[in-house]
Amino acid sequence: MTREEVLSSVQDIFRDIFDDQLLEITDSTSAEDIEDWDSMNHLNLVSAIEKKFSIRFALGELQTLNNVGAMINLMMQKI
Amino acid sequence: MRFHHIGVACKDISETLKFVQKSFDVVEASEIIFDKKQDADLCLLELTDGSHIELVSGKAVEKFVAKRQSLYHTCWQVSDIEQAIAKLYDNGAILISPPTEAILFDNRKVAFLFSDIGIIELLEENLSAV
Repeated sequence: MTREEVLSSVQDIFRDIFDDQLLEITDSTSAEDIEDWDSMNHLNLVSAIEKKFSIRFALGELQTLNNVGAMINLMMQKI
Repeated sequence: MRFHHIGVACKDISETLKFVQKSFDVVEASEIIFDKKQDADLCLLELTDGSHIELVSGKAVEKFVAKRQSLYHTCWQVSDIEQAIAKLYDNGAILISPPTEAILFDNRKVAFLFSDIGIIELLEENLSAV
């Protein structure tokens, strides 16, 4: 799976969780750009990504996922 | 794993406490305790049927309060907290707070996980009471 394919799948997850089918994400997208990206939705995102890609994030890793780019970089190591 | 209580997010714990005391048969209410580790005010109520409600207010639940979502967590008592965490983790739950002593429960350990049934609090069984 290429990085672009992962980003596209992650975008679908973001659109589903934030209920916005027009939402476009990039590597630099962070919680500052999406109003509803709070700690609970962060957990919803992580949980959905883990299920979709059959991966797990460690407790310490959750704090490092500050933007989409960091998320995708870590995912690429696990896929 | 045995159900222990529901955690209710409150804007004003004293106001919610008044409602619960007027509406339910409360036999015991703890003091309102500030738990530094959870960054929250807590109050545990016991009802006549032996069930419990934990009222929670403060920073830990401010997102829930803002969304007017009262149900914060369900709490389950376990004999081995590490084993229970491992089982939930293996089934897809995310550990959000590792075991730490909880002042409201006489320093028994609690841990929090995010799961498909919402936030789960695990409470270490009170071995001295068994």
